[in-house]
Amino acid sequence: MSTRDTENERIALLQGTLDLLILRTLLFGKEHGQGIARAIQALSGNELLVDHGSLYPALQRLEAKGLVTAEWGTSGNNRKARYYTLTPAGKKQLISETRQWERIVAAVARVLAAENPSG
Amino acid sequence: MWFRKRRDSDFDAEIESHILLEADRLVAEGMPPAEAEAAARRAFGNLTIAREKFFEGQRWLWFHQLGQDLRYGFRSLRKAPAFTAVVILTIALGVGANTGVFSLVDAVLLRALPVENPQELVFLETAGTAGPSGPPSYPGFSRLRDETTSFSGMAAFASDELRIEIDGRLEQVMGQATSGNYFQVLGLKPRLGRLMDAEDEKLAPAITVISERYWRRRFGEDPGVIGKSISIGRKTFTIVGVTPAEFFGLQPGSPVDITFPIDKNGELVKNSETLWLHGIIARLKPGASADAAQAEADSIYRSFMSTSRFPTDLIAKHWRHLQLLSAARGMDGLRRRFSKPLYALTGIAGLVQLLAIANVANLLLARGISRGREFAIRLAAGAGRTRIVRQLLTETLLLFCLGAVPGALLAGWGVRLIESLFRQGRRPITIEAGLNWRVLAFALVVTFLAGLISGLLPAWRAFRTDPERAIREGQERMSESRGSAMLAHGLVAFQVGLSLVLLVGAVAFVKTLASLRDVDLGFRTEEALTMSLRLPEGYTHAGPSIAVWNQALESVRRLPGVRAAALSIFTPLSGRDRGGLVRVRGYEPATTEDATIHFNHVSEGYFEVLGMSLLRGRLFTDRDAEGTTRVALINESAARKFFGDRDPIGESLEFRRTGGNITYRIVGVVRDTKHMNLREPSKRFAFLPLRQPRDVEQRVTLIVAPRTPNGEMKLLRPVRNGILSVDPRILISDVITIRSQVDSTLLTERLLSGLSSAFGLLAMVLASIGLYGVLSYRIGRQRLSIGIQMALGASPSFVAFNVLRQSGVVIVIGLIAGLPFAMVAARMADTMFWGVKASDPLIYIASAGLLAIVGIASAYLPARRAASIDPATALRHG
Repeated sequence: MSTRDTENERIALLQGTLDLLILRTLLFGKEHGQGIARAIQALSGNELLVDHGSLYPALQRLEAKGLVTAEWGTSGNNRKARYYTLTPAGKKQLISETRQWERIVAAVARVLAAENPSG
Repeated sequence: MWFRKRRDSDFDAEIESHILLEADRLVAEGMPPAEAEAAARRAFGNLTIAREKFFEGQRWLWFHQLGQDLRYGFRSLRKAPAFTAVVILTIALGVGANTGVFSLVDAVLLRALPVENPQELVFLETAGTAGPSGPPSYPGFSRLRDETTSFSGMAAFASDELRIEIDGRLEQVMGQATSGNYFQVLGLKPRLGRLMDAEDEKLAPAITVISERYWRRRFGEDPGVIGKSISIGRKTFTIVGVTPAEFFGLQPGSPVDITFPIDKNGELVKNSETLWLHGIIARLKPGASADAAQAEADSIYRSFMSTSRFPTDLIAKHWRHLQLLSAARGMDGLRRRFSKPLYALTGIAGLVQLLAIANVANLLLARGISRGREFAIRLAAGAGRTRIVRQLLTETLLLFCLGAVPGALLAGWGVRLIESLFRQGRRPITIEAGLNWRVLAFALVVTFLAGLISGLLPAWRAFRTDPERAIREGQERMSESRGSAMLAHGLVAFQVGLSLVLLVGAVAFVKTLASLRDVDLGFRTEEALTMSLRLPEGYTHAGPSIAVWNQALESVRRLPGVRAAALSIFTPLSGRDRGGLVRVRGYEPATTEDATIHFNHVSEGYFEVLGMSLLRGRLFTDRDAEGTTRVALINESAARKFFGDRDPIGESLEFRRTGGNITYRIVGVVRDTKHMNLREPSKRFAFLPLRQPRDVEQRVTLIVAPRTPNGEMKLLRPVRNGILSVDPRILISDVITIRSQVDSTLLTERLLSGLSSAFGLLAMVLASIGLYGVLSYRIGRQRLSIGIQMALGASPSFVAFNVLRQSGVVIVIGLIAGLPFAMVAARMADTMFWGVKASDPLIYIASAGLLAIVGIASAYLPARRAASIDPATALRHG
């Protein structure tokens, strides 16, 4: 009924990245799912398209891990929405993951930019 | 956490709000509202996938999948009814055997007394070089109770079968006389009314307490029972209370019906030399050390015994010191008698369980391999490996739960059967081995563990399934791996080995029972009914008692259906016995023991009705009565002991007796008979005429032989009427045939031989099913290669022979591996055997031979199927 075991390996990277981006969007205050998706899209200059099918399970996961909390609230235009807030653990996680991300980016960049060692 | 943290509807609401927010944004950007929502929905993507992922993120998924696995399991089990039936039967056998045996072990060996802090309770008993021999007499108990300081309470009790009268009706009950503080020492609360206390020892008024069991059986739980009176002897006691339901007394197996205070001024208590108490129970003070308490009690006891009039050699042998014994589980008579047989049964049940596990594992493996393709497809379709393993384990546990239910029923039925076996005989043993929470917990744990163990192997194999290969190559090739064949054959060999151990035990126990049945008892066991007759109060002199017995005997002998009848105090193998000290001219006893002889009072006709043969001299006649010379018969053992080669006839036998010795003249010698036990050699016996008694007896045993074969039970009513016509107050009880009396002494042997052979045969059947299953399955898989073999010229008989040869190898390996274990097991049980030894090669040869024959027979059908494979069809269709 599912392909979780095999798929897990494939989405691991994406998942981690999406989690990081979600945490980052929540840094300045609470936001609902649609807002988070909009924010990621907007902040990435529309380069990153958020798959809604992954966004909500990701939020679910973050909530389960205690990195965000959620509560129902009312949006600016009077719609009911579920708002997510960063917890202290979530902030810590954001910092450490951001650092790791920077290291990866730097490392990958170094590799890509390197002269061909043999040539 | 099993329940879901968040409800589906909440998640749906969140997604709905997302879409509306997105639509709002699109409208704000200038899109017409009607299009905006549809566009937002499109942009969100597949709603179902989002929901599904949310759903899987929930922890209760586990539970949901379990439900799925169970449903799937049920379906796949229904598709293979033969497999399911065999597995469920196997499991039922394993779980049933273990639950049944455990409930017996629990009832007989483990259960603590249902009293307050049972671990603080101790029995005080005397012991000497010959081992323990009961508690000190009442005066000894009084001193111990008054002078010890280590105990918070000490109570004495003595039980006996009593003739009582309620509402003018006579009956026999198990009665117990106790010191007044008995129930306080135990810390029991009444079920109804009140229990006794120390004041009641004054017998003013005389009160009694009945057991809940007796209240239920005799009075139908009528609360009006309080205030009713019971006559015991010439005293009348008033019922004041009922003891709690779970309390049966301190002797497991013999529940007490009524309890009343010891009469401190009664005959028995006054006589300081009579060691008549049944037991002394005491409660250690909290924190008191058992060793210190024992030392204290022992020194008081020794000072008490220093004034005893018993011969010092007897004291050293039986009553030298006092010791404390844990009373947490009650008196240990039943435990001593049954611990070994029960341990043997536990071992047997454990082996049966191992065998059941091996059998189920093997069947599951075979099935798992044939389901290889199914798993491969599921894997390829994206199912996780863990999911498949879980599916398999769930199925196995489902099977075990399905098997455990008939298993528990089987156990319940078997235990009831065994309970009724225990209740037979002159001394019925009442055990309450029914289901309780401990037994149920045990059954659950056994079921679960067995399910896990037998499910692991198949699950492990499924875990290693490579979907690509499985699908590409198909199940045929997969199954041909050498590993799986080895494993299946190994499991069959393991089962054969276990069966050998069980069969050797069964053969030895069956042989034991058969040998004991062949033991020369010295008397006839056919067609005789015995019953106990007890005189009412008032017959304190020999004359009137003898007159009543004479009349009773005559009235019975006059009945048309009666061939012969006789009276005696007890009969052989009834569990009753009497001994006395004798003086014989020309024999110098070295010890007191040497001067003892067992004796019985019997009427004329006793030896004839029991078929005991006379070796020399003459038997008793009705002229051996008051006024003529007192005569006696002795048995061979007594003649040998006291007279050696001399002729005992005409010699005299002088019984030592308080109140004057009494001398009998020996007129004959009879053959030895077994008396207490079939395994022990015969004892020295003297037979004295009932009409020339050594002392007055209130209770005799009537032995009646019918004229027609098997007519003994039909005699019961006329015999009863005949006896009651002499005196309606005579109490008739303990009606039992001589044959069942002998049978009841073989209780443990019957139990062991019955259960071990049932389990042994079932084990053999299981092993054959295992072999049959593995062979059938393998031959099915090897159709193609067998077809090729035959196409290349192999004859059908060669193919069949090959199959048989393979199974022969497996069986022989199993037998060789099982043999040392069988020998060790037999050696452990050696003391329970009789007429056969653990070292007897015959029991191994017989068992191994039987197993080999049955094994080859179960390989015969698959072998024939292999031989009948048509090469053309096999090659064409694979």
